[in-house]
Parts: sequence; structure tokens; C-alpha cells
Amino acid sequence: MADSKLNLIKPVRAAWIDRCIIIGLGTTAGVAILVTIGIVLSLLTETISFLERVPLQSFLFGLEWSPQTAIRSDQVAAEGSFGAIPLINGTLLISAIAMVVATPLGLASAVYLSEYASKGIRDWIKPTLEILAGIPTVVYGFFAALTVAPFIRMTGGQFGLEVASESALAAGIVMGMMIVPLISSLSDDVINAVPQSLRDASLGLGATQSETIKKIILPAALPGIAGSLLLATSRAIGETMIVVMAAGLAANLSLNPLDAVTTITAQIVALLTGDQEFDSAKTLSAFALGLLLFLITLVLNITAQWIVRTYREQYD
Amino acid sequence: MEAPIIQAKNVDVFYGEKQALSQVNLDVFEKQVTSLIGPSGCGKSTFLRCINRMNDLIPICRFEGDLEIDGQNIYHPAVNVVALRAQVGMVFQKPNPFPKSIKENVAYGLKIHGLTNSKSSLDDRIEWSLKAAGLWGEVSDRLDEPGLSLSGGQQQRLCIARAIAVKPRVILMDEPCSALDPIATAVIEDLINEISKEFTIIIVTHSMAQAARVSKRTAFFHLGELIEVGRTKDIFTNPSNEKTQNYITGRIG
Amino acid sequence: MNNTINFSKSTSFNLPKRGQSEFRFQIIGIGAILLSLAFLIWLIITVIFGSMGAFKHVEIAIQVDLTSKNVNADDVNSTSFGSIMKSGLREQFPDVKKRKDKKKLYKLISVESSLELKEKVLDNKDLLGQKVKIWVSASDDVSLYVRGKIDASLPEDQRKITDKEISWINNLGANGQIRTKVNWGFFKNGDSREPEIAGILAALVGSTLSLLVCFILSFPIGVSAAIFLEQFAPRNRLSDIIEVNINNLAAVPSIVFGLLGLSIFLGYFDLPRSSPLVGGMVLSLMTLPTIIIASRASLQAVPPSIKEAALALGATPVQAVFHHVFPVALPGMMTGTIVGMARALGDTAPLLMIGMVAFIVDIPKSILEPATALPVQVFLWADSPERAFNEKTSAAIIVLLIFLIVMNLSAVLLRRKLEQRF
Repeated sequence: MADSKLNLIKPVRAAWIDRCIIIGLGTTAGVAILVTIGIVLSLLTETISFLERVPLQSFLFGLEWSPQTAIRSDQVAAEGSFGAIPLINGTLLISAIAMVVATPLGLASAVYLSEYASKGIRDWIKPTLEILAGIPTVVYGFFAALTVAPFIRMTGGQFGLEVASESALAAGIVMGMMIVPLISSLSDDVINAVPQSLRDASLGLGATQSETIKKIILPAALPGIAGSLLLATSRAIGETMIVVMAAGLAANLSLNPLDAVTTITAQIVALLTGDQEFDSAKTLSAFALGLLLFLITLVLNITAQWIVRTYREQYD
Repeated sequence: MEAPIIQAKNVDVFYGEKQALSQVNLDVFEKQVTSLIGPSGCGKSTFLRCINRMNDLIPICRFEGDLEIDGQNIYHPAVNVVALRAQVGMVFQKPNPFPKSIKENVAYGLKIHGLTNSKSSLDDRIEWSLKAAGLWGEVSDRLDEPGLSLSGGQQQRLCIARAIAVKPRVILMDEPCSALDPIATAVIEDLINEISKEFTIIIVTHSMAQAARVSKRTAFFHLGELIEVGRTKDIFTNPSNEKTQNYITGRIG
Repeated sequence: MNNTINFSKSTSFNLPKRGQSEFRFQIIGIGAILLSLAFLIWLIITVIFGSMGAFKHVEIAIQVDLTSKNVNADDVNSTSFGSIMKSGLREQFPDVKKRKDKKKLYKLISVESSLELKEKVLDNKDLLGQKVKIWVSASDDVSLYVRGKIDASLPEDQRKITDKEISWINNLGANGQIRTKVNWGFFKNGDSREPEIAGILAALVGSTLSLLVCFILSFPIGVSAAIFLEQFAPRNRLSDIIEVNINNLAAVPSIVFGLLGLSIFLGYFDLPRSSPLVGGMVLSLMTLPTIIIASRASLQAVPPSIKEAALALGATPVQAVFHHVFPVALPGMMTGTIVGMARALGDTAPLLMIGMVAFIVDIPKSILEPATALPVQVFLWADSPERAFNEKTSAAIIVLLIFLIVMNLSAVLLRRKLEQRF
């Protein structure tokens, strides 16, 4: 052996190649940031030119939404016709109905599956419920518009109730059913994160299983459950196809679930499908609505993720 | 000697195909401490969890034989596990206070079983339990703070207070000091001695020294069998079985 | 302290009441699950039964005169096949005299039937010079009536088909001139204004092309981003921001990605509107966070000992990751990608934003041609007033769901394979 000394210096070329590869990989991770910047920039620039035509407070606080009036070029955005309140009202009304439907169903099934069901039953029921989450929303929209809405209208008619053919109730119920598996699987995770030792302690004291769940497990899991409900709400607010197909475009300022209302997402679709001049206030308003939607869901998501993370750290 | 409060006759326990306990016959006497010792996996915890049927929670676990408390077979179909566990309490290996206030932790069992009918009697019982668990002096001025804010040893005493609040006849303790430091352990051991005047206590422990310090009678388990049971003094100084001899001298375990 | 112990069911501790409340609680849980499942079954049965008719095709046979009187054999294209069909119908029903009635008579057959006849003649020139019986598509209303979807017992003004038309149809039926067969055209044709002709193929191809673009873009980017974040990223503010950012992107409403596509891909880069290229790009933005999250989970599941073993043998970190960690994590990454793409396949809203909602008859041949996608086709047909489109919508949903099932099934199979390895 000519050279018996250990060579501890790394070969220069290998180090250089490694560096390049790592930088390359890091660049791709930056794409995610780029997408966010893209979203914010594209929404913001169009919104700013929208706000040049329609003042911010009449957009945010206006009580009337009728973008049609701005079609004629000599009649640029008459005051009050771009008020987002009816849309926000409709969005919240339908989301609230959806959550009222989905929360008890999702939570009750999560509790049953994680605390009572045998493994065999759980292995069958869980994936079956997940199918509800996998069905494209356009299918729900079709179902809501052609089956559930007429059904509700008919049922309401038998009780002497006047139900709009595109009622908020139909869209809300169907959206709720779509969200059930989301709430159920998120809550299932949260409930499973509650340490077994707490169940043992409660059962060991002679509590029944339902007492243990109601008094120990659910209160302990409450922050995590709140987080999953927020995520589900954000999902409901951003849902588009169901409301486009089942809720219609009537911008009514109503809290009656039997009335027809419209939502932010349904209006964006209505404004941007079909022929459009790119620079009209009508088109631009869609981006302002998009920004509004993005901000609302962003706040909900960040809060939800923060709550869930803090909750998990508590039991780690 | 008086009649035993707990009598196990020919107890077999299986986890699926695996037999965890075979033909255990053991008597436990009232208002004294009985400790269960043996190497890990010997079945001592399994036996303990049979006494308030916590093993029911494991789907593959199967019990055979006769386990009587106060002359009643607790595996009889007419027995209600809730009533059983309300009278046979349990303290676990790791302190597991509920994520609620100190007060609510102790009040929990009383509330679910409907044992107190007024707020003042509830408060009295909480105070009595915390005093019995030797915790009153440390927490009397902060009953509304979360139970999890206490130190490990305090948490375990809170769990004991929680268990004795419903005044069970028997308290099962599953290695209650294994997660605690020596000083906290000493406090708990004194406490066990103290409350054994009122309650029948069965304690599983991996520490022979602890068994010797706290218990009047000791049962030695090995590979799912009860090898020997007797007065603690006799077991440690003059075991009749060779396996017990080997265990206490450190040759197996 | 009570001195006797009683374990029986009825005495102390409020046992009967607590037992009831336990029972009620479990019933609520089971009820919630059953209700959700019932809804699922209701939906699926509605769609399946609704779609049945769309897979059946009703045809009418008409005696047509293809002799040289009507067709010039040298110049078939200039022939008016429509009037040949009409005279065929008139010959069959010589009693029909009034203009209005004649118009009704012609409407028994599809508007597209003259094209069908033309194609048949071009395919088989032997037909020329003969008087032959030719099968052509019936119109949508006739098709509905023949398949029993129109209730003839209703008063005439409440149904889409008049008594006169019914008598004609019955006449044709009695002569064996009506037949029902499997509607292969549904899988071979593009969209059409005429429900009896409209098919799913253009949308199927559009979706496939978009998904291809989506896969090519999002899989390499997503996987390498995940490898960086999981294996090489320094723990600092920037990587924290990226992490939070990815989690948030995964929850951004899909329509917002559509707005991004409209404003940047179409507005700024001027890419072709309605094309699978832009559709795929928008879908890839949506899929990216899902792929990154799934790939990271898959990388985390690889035992660290594998990487350590490679490092201990003198591999560089990059070599250790790419030679040993990556291959083990790959099936999991593929699974996550397929699941993400399955979701992209069903998503409609962003595609509406970038104009993939256009009426497309031709099957797209490249990713730059205008196209539509399966879920958009569902949306378009669901919006059409003709009743016959109703069953088409259900049928398109079935095709979409089968596509989804195939994708998810392959993801499950991949996962099975992965599980066998550990």
C-alpha cells in the first residue's frame, strides 16, 4: 500500500453535485409559495381596478347585488349594485344549514365508529362513508337540483309551506351530507388522540361508556373538534358546484332557508362564464369576490390549523 | 381469621389463543393491603384487571372460573359492570387526572353515580377525599386549577382521592408508583398504609421492597400461575416454593 | 359506608336510568351512520336508474330511394339526404297533407339522421341505385316515448308528444320499423345539441388530456418538493412558512385556482382558452399540495435506519436519499398522487373559470385544442332543458364515477403492494 493514510477530505466534485441537487429540490418547494403569491397578486390587481370603479364600502356593505346594470358602458356601476352583503348572507346561510346537518351526523358517526364499533364494522363503514367525500361535487349539485329540491318543495307543499324551487335548504342539506365524512374523519383522528388512560380512569370509576364519552372524551377533544368544524365550514363556504346548480342566482337578503339565495362562489361562476369583456366592472367584481372568499377561508383555515396543532401538542 | 372479601377460584384468562392466567386460586381479606408480585408478563396485572372487569374492554380477552366479591360471582350475567366498578375502584400506573379542575376530578365519580344530593355534601366529600389522600393541605386554596397543573406525585394522589371519593369497598392499584420519583413514592406508600384502615387494597408492584413495606399479604405470580401466597413476612423470609425463593433473591425476574 | 356489596342491575347508582341513556347514545350513533349511508344509497340509486335510458338507442327504419333520381353517384356529397328521408316518410304516411303535420312527421327522426344516412351511403356505395330500408336515429321525444318514459295517459297538452305522433309511432312499431339497441354512440360521439346523438367521448378525452398534463407537472414538482422539505430543508423560518403555506393551499377553494388560471395563464401568458393544457395546469396547482403532503407522509414512514445504513457506508446524503429512501417511499407517493388526481378529475369549478365549459363537438386531438371535461359535461347536460339530457347527465355521472373508481382502486392496489413490503 502506497498511501496508508486515511483521506478524510470529501471529494470536491461529489459535494458540488449534491449542492446543486439540493438547491434544485429547494426550488421546487418554492413553487408552493409562488402559487400563493400568484393567487394573491392576480386577485389583488383585478380587485384594485374593481375598487377604482366601485368604492370599497359600497362593495363590502352594500345591500343590493345586481351586476347586470353595469353592462351598458355609459352606466358604469351604479352605486349599490355591487353590494356583497346579499351574497355573504346567502353563503353563510347555506353553509350554516350544511353545518347544522353535518355536525351532528359527522360527530355521532365518528364517536360510534371510534368508541363502539368493532374493528370489522369500522373497516367496512369508514371507507363506505368516505365514498361520500369522493363523489364529485357536480354530482351532488345535480342530485340537489333534480331530486332533493323537488322533494323538499313537495314535502313543504304538503305542510302548506311556500318553498322556492332553488331553496337554500336543498343546497344546504346536500352540502351537509357531502361534509359528513370530512367532519367524521377529522373528529375520529381527534378522538383517537385522547389518551386511553383517560378512558381507563373514567371506566375504572364505574362510568358508563356514554358518560365517559360525554363527560371526559368529548370535552378533552373539544378544541380539536372545533378545529375540524372550522375546516369543514371553510370547505362549505368555498364549495361551488352544489350552489351553482342548486341555489341559483337570486341575490335575496333572506335568512329563511326556504327562500332562494345566492352565494359568492355561484356569482363568480355566473360572472365569468359566457362572454365577457375583460375590463368591465362586472368581470372585475368576480375577482373582488374571489379575494373576499380567499380571505375568509384563509382566516378559517389558519385558525383551525393553529387550534388543532396546539391541541395535538397537549397530548404529545 | 375472618372470611375473605374476594375469592378467586380456578381463574383462567385467555388473550385469543394465548393463556395468560391458569387456575389461580386466591383469597383477599378485608381492610388490609395485598400485593401481587412477579416478573413482567406473569399475569399479575391481568389478574388485577379481572377484579373490576377492566379486561372486558379487550375484545379478545376471555375469562373462565369463579371470582367472587362478598360472595357474589362478578362474572355472573346479572352483574352490572358499572355497579361493580363503582364499588371496586382503580388507580393506574401513570397518573391520569382528567383534563378538568382538581375539584371536578374528585367530584366526577360522585356525580355520575349520583352519590351526593346537595352541593354542600359534595364539597364535604371532596374535602374528605382530598384529606384522606393527603392532598388537602397542598390544594385547598386552588381547587379550581386544572388537575394537570400538579406535580406527578400530586397527580397520583389526586387519582387516589378520585378513587376513594365514591367510597369503594376495594381499591385496585396497578404499579401506582412506577412513574414517580422516590420521594413521591414514599408519600404514596404512607398514604396506602393510611387508607388501608378503611379500604381493601390490592396493589401490583414490580418492587419487592415496596411489597414488603406496604402489604400484609403477598401473592407471587410466575408465568400465569399463582405460585405462592401468604403473609408478606413469610414470603420474603421463608418462602416455601423454590421459584419464589429464586425470584426474591434475584435469580429470575 | 354500606357494608354489603350489591352488583345487580336494579338497585343503586341510578343504574336503570344510566342504562337507558347509554342505549339512547348508541342508537344516535348508529342512526347517524345509517342516515349517511341511506343518503349515499339514495344518490347512487337515483343516478343509476336515471342513467338506464341513456344506454339505449331507438332507431326507425325508413324506406329511402337512393336511385339516380335522387343521388348522383359521382357526387354523393351534394345530395340532399334530408329530403330523401322526408320523402321516404311521406310515402309511408300518404294521409299526412297539412304543412304543420308534415313538419311533425319529419320530427320523428333525429335532425342528425340525414348525416347518418350520408355516412352509410359513403361507407357502402352498393346502396346507391336501390330502394332500401335504412335504420336511423329516432328523435329524443320519440325515443323517450318508445322506452315508456312519456305517460300517454296524460292529457295531450301536458306531454311532449301529440296523439297524432303516437299513432304514427304505433304504426311504425306495428310494421317492425322501430328497434331499440345498445347506444354505443354514447361512447363514440362528442357533445351535440341533439340528446339522441350526444356522446361522452370528447369529454372523456378532454379529461384524460388534462389529467396527463396535471400529472406531468405536479408529480415531479410535488415529489421533489416533498423530498426537499422532509430530508434536506434546514429548520428555519422559511421552511416553516413553506409548510404552513402548503397546508393552507390544500384548503383553498378550488374556484380560486380557477381565478388564478384565468388571470395569469389566460390573461397574462395568453395560453389557449378552453384547452386541456390550461385545464391541466390549473388542476396541477390544486393537486400539488395534496401530493406534497402525501409524499412527505410516505417519506416519514421509511425507517430512518435505512438512510443511516447508507450514510454509514459512506454515501452522501443525496445518494442515501435517492438510492435508498426514495425507492421505498415511491409507491406511497404514487398512491397520494393518484388520490389527488382523482379529486382533480371530479373538480369542475376551476375548469369553468378557464372556459372549458364551451360546447365541443369534435374530439380534441391535442392539448391545445378547445376541450371540455367529464364533470363539466355533467354540468352542461344537467343545465339543458331537454328531458332526454336528464338521463344523459346520469349516464355521464356513471362514466365519471367509473373513471374515479378505477383511479382509486389502482391507488388501493398500490397501497396493498406497499404494505406487503413492510
